[in-house]
Amino acid sequence: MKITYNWLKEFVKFELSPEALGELLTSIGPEVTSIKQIGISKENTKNIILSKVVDIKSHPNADNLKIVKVEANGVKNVITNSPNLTIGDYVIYASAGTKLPDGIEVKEVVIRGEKSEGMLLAKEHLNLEEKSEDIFILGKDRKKAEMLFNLYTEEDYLMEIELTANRSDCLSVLGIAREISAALNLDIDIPSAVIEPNIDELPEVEVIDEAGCPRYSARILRGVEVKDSPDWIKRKLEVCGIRAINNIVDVTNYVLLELGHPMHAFDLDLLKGNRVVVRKAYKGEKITTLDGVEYDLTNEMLVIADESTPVAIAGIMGGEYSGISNTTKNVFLESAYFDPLLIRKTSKKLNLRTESSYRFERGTDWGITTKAIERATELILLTSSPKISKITDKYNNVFKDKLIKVDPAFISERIGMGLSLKEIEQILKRLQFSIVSREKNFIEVKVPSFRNDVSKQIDIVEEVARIYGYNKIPEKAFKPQVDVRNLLPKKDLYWYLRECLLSLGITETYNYSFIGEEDIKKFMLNESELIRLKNPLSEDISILRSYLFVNLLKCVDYNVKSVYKDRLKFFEFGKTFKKIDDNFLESKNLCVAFYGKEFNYYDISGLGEYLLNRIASKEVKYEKAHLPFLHPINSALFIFDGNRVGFAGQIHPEIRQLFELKNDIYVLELETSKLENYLNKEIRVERFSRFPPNTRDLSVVVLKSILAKDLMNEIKNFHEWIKEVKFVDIFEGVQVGEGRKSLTFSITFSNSERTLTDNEVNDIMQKLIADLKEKFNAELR
Amino acid sequence: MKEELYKILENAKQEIKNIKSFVDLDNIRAKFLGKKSPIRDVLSRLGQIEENLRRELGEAANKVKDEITMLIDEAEKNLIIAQKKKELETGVSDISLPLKVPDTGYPHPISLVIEKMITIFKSMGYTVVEGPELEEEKYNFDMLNIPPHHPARDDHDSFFVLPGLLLRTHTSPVQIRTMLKMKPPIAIVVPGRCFRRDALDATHSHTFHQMEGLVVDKNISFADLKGTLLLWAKMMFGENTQIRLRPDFFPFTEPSAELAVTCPVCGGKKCNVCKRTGWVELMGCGMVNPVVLENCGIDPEVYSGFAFGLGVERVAMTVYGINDIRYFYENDLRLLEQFGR
Repeated sequence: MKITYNWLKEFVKFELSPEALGELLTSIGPEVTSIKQIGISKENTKNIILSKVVDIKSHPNADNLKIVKVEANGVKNVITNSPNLTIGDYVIYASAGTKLPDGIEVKEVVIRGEKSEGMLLAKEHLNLEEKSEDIFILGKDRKKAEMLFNLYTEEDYLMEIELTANRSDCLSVLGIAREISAALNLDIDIPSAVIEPNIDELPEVEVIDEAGCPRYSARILRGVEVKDSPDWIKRKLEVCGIRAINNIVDVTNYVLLELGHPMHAFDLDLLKGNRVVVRKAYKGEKITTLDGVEYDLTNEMLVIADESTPVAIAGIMGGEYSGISNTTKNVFLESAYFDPLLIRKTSKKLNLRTESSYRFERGTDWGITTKAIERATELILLTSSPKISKITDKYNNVFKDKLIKVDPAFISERIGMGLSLKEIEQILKRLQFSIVSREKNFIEVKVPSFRNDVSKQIDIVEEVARIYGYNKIPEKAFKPQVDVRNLLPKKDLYWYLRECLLSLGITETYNYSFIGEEDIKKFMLNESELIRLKNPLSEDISILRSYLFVNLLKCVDYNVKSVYKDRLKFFEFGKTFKKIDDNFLESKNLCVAFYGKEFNYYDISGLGEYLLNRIASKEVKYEKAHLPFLHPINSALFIFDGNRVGFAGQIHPEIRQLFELKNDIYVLELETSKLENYLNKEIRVERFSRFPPNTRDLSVVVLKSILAKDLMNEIKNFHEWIKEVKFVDIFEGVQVGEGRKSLTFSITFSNSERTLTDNEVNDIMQKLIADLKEKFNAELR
Repeated sequence: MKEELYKILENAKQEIKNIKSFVDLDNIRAKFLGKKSPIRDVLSRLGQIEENLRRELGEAANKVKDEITMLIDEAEKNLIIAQKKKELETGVSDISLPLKVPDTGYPHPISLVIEKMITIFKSMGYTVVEGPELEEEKYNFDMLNIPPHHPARDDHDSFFVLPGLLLRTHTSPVQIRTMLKMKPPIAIVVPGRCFRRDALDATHSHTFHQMEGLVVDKNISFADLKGTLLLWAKMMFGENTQIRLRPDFFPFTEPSAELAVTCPVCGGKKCNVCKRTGWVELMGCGMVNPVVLENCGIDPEVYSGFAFGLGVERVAMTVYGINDIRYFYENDLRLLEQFGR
């Protein structure tokens, strides 16, 4: 919201500089996000002056430029591109060396061979509007030009204020002025004209939907003259970003900015039946609004209608047909309170947001409707002398004054410091809360009608705290009660694995949780388990990732192609999402990717086994993966303690080719959610042998499909004296037969009581060989 | 025979002189002292010699044998010395070659911030709790006092998966989940990924991370919140850090505040990072709204609490000088490599 510093001063007589005011407001709630000087500052009063154009020549070397002579402390040559300037016009001249409010520094320049000794200003240069189409031409009449000059160049400051959703009461000059008055304990001067009606007419209003429109006030002005607004009204509107239209529409906008209450003006003669009905739209009804757009209305939307058709979308925008035009004679002024939720729903559904809907949906002041009409009437009377009707005020009294019991002890306890009843009362009075009654332990206060955000005692805590000053409240050293569970030195799996991975020289990445439609085919994903967003931002981020490797692979691709790396080791921890039998499963995964010519399958499978071993000493097994995105042979599933926990392998060559990557990519993806409970089991040491071990090599021939790891697990578990099984060699060739391979292991035997004899070890070896023969059809080589 | 012995000794001396290696040494030892050596041969023939000469010759032969043994031992010693010397004289050609430097794994800046925050809050006695990213609308909004159509939902444009099921827009639903499960006293922090339906640009991301805190106990006040956050700010950014609060609005806290800390980059001396204000706003916070306590079955007459939450990327951007939020998800090694500790 934009308002000006001087406008605020009309309401409260404060002494603060614009910057100090900005800081004060921000410290109590309304956040001042920018302060811009507008008009002419004191330092510039000599440099920026009103000047008369005495001569205009076209520029000899540029078609769209003119050389203008202006009277400005002598005659000055200025080059301008203004299309509308004529001799005799008054303009605003800035001399060379002037620093303009918008940041431009005026310089003496030569433009295509012609000297320009200054600059003719547009409104934008004085921050009077965002963007100007032409320089500011003040007309040919000296008196009028001087008046405009003084009005528009008045030193002022445009303050941009951001308000939180609850503080709709501050969406106006009045609202901000109230905050200043509360903070500084100053009186506030509120416009409170009451205009005597001079015709015995009462606007005809029928409110059918009382829930949607609890209050509807209206007045008719007969015989208005539609023309331009006074310049001072125009200036304020323009500066605050609203285009001036005519003396009626401008006044409704002025009241919106000043009092925060949205109003609407209809051309009474265009309302069929000369009356207004507030009702829900009928199915199939349409309306073309002031901006020329046609909207389809539904029966959930509130409209203002005449006898037959909607003439406005209530609280959002008026209809084009019934609006004020130059020929309007009789005006119907609307000032209502609409249900915030209803306005919000309608505005959202139509995707139509206006200054009016913005305020109504946040809740306006239900007590101000008739005052707003009086203020509007007062302002319209400045330019026209219509006949004034009485005010119709359809008010079904759903509003009750909110009363809150305020216990000073509660307030002090929540804030954390002792505040006396007197201090609390004083703050509340400054905020226009009134004390209704005083009891022994509490006071009862009445909430002003503009504060729809305050309804409970806890809200009073905030009011007192913010006006007292958040930064004046002391800091107490709060310590949570000791919770023994927190003090146990528990290791968190993710931070633990992360340290392991970083130590192994693998770099951490964070990738998005979304994949795109294209990725399904590209990465051969199982479509049935994918979860799609109902409302994605775009197609390439429309599905929740079911694996981490997809985006990690894209990250590898990026670093190869854009960062020119040929060797990468990446990991990521993150959530993955799968739909299985209509259940949405969320799992925290770890993914590792290796890229580079030195890597092969065993680098990634080995890493997987290593990490699993670091979590707990449980049996790790391998299984063929059968995952479409992995190489059919160079891939495996990990079975950890009997559960499938992830996979490792080479990315399918077709995927690599799609990415046009030179080297293969190896990925490991573990469902770490399944591993969380293994960590933190305390270690119990086993007795270990101090006697020399007895080591035997064992070579067996098995079918190619038998996995070495299965044999190793079998051997390891075969006898308690077998302490270690190491893989030594694999051999395939005619010597061992077609479809077979020879595996050699080194087996270490030991006993903690004594040295084992050869006979004892031989005996176990015989039994082991028989066992492997039986279970794996393994032949001794 | 004497001459024979003399010849053997001479031969031995000659050959011992030519010893170049331990292999030579072993060969010569075998040749002159082994079972088939000429000395053995001489000694074996002693029996055939007259008795008066036998003794003398025997002594001579043993003397020759002893001398050869001594010479060979000496040669061995010399070989060992030479070998040791050689071992010390050979080595790598350039001690500076970076042939086997282990790879560095670089941590991600988001993790660094989360890790630091967790460490701080754990030391203060807080428990780390996590929650699902795919969240029920009632936990993400309704029970946090953000009913449907509340204007606050404008800032939380959400990705929906099903009606009522969305990607959480903040970590605050974990407050609800915790309060439904645990009775006070509660002191938790919640790190996690959040999502809002914002198009990507330098300062907006549909994916971001938050860190949330919640305390519920008897007699918790706004002053406790301030004290906690001041301590946090000092531990996070240095002992001279100060905090400043201004009123803000969150439906689930009342009173609510926005917390600024002394600019971590210039220490409050005013720089570009803090837009020449000396302060950086980092955190939303406030006293838990009694409605929220009630929604979770906690009696607001007995208990009160405070909550706070911050954007992890925002902190990382401020502290590390990263000026585009998209960089966090680009994983460009040229950026990540700057985080080698």
